[in-house]
Amino acid sequence: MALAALLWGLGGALAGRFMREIPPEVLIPLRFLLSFLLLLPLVLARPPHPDERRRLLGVGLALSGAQAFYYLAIHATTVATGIFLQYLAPSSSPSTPSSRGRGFPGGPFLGWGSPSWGPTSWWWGPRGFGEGL
Amino acid sequence: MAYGLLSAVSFAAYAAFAHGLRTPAFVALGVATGVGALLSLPVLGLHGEKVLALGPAQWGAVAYLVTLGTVVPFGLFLLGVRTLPARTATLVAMLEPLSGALFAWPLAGEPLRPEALLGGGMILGGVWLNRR
Repeated sequence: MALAALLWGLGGALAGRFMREIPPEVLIPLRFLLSFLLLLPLVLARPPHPDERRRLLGVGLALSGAQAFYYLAIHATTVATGIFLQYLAPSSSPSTPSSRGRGFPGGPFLGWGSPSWGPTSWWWGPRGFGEGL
Repeated sequence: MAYGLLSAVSFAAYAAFAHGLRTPAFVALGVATGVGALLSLPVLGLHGEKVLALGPAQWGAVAYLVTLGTVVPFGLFLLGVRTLPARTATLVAMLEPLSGALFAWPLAGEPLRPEALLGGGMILGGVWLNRR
């Protein structure tokens, strides 16, 4: 998980230079299409269990939304704003266990509050990470 | 702003849907990107001339975003979220802005300012507080 975050971070740093040169209406579909073609042999070799198809459709719709809106946010504002807003995701996640009757996770409230405000500090810095990207 | 908020909600839904999946991570990602490709292909069809206009540097950036920016990290994320709760998974994923800033220093010549260090410290603190 941490390695994934590391790679996303490296991607963000490198893509900052190119993102303005590739319009989102090209970048978003190309990214999905080429990723799908790269993974297609695996999907064909080990097709998902029929019981999980509906759930995988949900994963696909959620991933599509996350990526498409992320790039549209970057295009409409800045990379920093897009990254910052996407990191409100943990604030949305506690509502899921709550809706499943497991109760709101009050204990780690500070735990997810702090990282939600961390990027805020990052973003508001006069010439911090946000403006740099 | 609305796009960014929709992205955050979608990312949280992505983590929640993916938690506990039995389908292998990269197969699940293949299906998920297939859904994305299906939904976005009509848009690509309308902008074919822009694809043809991309130069080698842009194609290099696309290749990076596809492999090390999408397939590998999202696959690793799906591997992690199979066992970790969605909330913890999204929190650990918050190390991205931290690593982004650290990489942006040597790669893009962007110095780390005190505000950035404070933000990074708060992120690490939050992830630590949520450890299990």
